[in-house]
Amino acid sequence: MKKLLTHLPFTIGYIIAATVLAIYFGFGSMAREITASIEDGLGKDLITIEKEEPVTQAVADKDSASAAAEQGDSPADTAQDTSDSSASASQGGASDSAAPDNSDSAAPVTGSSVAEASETRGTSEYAYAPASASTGDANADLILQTENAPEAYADVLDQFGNVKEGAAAPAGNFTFSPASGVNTAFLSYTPVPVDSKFYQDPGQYTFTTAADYKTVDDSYFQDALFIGDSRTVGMFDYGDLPADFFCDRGYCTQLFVKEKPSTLQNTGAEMTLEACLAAKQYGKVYIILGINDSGYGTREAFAERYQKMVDTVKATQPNAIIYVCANMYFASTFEDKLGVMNNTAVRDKNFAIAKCADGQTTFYLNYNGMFCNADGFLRPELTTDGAHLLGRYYAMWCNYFRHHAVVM
Amino acid sequence: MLFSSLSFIFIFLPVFLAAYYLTPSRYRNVTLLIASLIFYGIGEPRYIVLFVFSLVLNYGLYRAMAYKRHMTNVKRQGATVVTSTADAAIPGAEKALLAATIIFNVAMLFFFKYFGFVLENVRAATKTTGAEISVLLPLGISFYTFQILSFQIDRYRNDIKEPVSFVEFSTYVAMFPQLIAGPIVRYGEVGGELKHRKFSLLNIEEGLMDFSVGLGLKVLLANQIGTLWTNIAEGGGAVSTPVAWLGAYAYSMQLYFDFWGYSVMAIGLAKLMGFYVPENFNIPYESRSVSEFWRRWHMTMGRFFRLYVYFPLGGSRCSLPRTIFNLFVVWALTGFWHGADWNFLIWGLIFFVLISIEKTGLGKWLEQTRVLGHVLILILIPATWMVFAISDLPELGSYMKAMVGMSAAAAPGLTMFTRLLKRYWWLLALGVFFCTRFPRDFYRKHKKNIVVKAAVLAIFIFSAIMIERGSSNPFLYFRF
Repeated sequence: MKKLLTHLPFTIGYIIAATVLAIYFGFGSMAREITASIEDGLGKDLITIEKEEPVTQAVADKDSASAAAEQGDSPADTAQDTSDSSASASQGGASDSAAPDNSDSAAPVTGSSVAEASETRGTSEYAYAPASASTGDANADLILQTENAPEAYADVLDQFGNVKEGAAAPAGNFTFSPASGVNTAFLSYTPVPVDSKFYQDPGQYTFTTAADYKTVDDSYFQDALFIGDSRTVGMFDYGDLPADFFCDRGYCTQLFVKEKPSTLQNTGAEMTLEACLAAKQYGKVYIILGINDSGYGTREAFAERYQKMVDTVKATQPNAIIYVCANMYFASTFEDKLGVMNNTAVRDKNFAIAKCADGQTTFYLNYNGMFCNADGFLRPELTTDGAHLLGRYYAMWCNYFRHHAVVM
Repeated sequence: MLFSSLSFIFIFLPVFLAAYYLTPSRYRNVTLLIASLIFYGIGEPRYIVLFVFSLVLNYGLYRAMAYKRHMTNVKRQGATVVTSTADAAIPGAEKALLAATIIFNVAMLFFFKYFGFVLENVRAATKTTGAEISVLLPLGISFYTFQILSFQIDRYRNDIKEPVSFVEFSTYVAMFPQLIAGPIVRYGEVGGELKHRKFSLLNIEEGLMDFSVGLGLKVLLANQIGTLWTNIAEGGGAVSTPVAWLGAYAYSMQLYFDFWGYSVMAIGLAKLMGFYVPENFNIPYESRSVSEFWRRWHMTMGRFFRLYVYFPLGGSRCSLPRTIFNLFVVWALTGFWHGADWNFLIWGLIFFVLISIEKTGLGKWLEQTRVLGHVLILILIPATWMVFAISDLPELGSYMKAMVGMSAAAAPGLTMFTRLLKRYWWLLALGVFFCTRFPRDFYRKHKKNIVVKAAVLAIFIFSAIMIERGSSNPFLYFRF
């Protein structure tokens, strides 16, 4: 034994370390890694033959129609419904098919046909899309903008997710924001109980506040301020809006109330949000925060902090239009190591944020439909880490803001 | 299954090693072969059939060719025991068989790796359309095809004199440490060990240490620096000049530590079983000419092209135009071997041009310089890696423009550079240090030292924890 120890000290240390680590990590997950690899390998097609689709502007329409049609188990009228509403999104209301099953099922409302459609859409159409490409007609980029329930609620919502004027809310499912006169739509579902002190399932999908949004050019953003976290840093790095960006990795409302500094990326100067707001008068302020609040306190505490930030902005920037923006969902590949960063938690945050909109000077923007599939996950081709957009897709996000501008 | 996955480190490897050491030494090749096929099957369960078919067919071809040679020798010398002699004329039938062998193996590689690419480009050139056909690339085919070819040609050239059994041949090709990404071993380097190898405790000790060091290079250095490159590559070519160069250096390091780490892991794993697999990297970024760089980077691949393509064509011992042509062939093939895309061809051809220029004597002169050669290499090589890394040609174009100071208008400016530098400087500094010879030489010299052993053990533990956390990126872990 002594001989072994003198000759093989590393080996003995390695065996001990490996044993301890393996027990600590758990063999179950490692064994699953192997079976998953084999299953994955067996599932792959060795040779795939794809019929070439004629190149048209409305790639999405074709795909969603065919994807829906391929759904063996979905009723035929669903396929019809999907293709109708996406082919002419602005006239989606014409589709007179009965409103889909309004049972309070919590899960994705629209079924998976849209998910498949959005996954099969080529990515090239997004790359470097110039602003002009996504203006005008009901273009492919904007079709999926509503959150999870676009086509099915086409007679209530327009293609931007706004509640149509005069549309009656389907019984039981639509509620309007508590504040009267605020046209922010919520779609209720039965929440799934969550055992967490940090978040709950809100039981509500949120939609962009209805307003007379205009398409604007870049001069609109010259007096705009974006307040955000690393995702907004990405927009500063890769987007092309000529705005000020007060954002940094990890920034959140918790850091704001603790008066911790963040960075004005345009100059690199570190300062608190108060200092940033005191330095300049802005015409528009975009707040895109919340995800880094995940581990800080209860949902009520978050709502309070967020409201405090909105109030601070209102107080210091009396003339600004405030956009309270949705947090983007995670991709299904994102690993929620801490149990607080998942799409239910995001929906919970977004619900709190949407309630801050008053429809007068504060508007809630939810662009998740544009980036997500119908299961509510960030589309896998748009990201590598499951949480941030790839640089080239920030153009989509910027374009969304160009098309959702309130002009006073 | 990657070497740097928990299932390999904590399930496959221990189970295999236990089985291997418990097997009586004469049957250990069989254990290793079966384990290697399982290893391949876990990663590529459907292509295992293709792989085994390739092994069987190639072994059959080998036996047929060896038999032809044997019969010729018997006839000629009237002897019965001689299996082969160096000076015997090679029968025509054997030549034909060798040609068939090469064609078969190259055709397999070609079909699985390049079919989709060729089809796409033929269609584009002829402006025809049709169904898009893509073929899934079998794991490791680029590497095992080269090992098979090297075996068959070496045997033909009489470099392999002894008879080789099916298990020995298959073990040589399939041995899991080098099956998927090399080093590309020649049969002569492990042939003796395949017949008989000694069991030594020192092999286990050093094998595990080498494996841990390689794992550290991959997980702690390559993966971490990789996040910086990913961050920059996300821009799709829209980057400012300093960021573009930062990206080029980050990628150069990532690629090096990734591949070097993998090779060191492979060498360590082979050592555990008593095999001595050749080194694949020799501090390449310390080179002073492009030719020298390629004598130090992915050395077993360079050797393959030199021995089986460049020399048979005549190498540089012929007229200048012919030498240039030979270089062209070698580098076009090297480029395409790395991937079925135009950027790889361009990348290979850049080296064709650079090395052709160096052939005029400039290379030899550069290797004598103290500073200039280094500076040139440290500018040229990272730039060429960008051609290697970016497959999308318009994107590559705008990235290259950014590198020479013509960034796209909307490219993020200096703030992005300083922000990235602020976050990654220590990692980059560490990377630069590991690009020099000092850490390697220190490790080689002091690997028996107990403190070094403890440090390597710490690297192993830390790497395993990093893999488990699934966070190849410490920065993206919680706060983002």
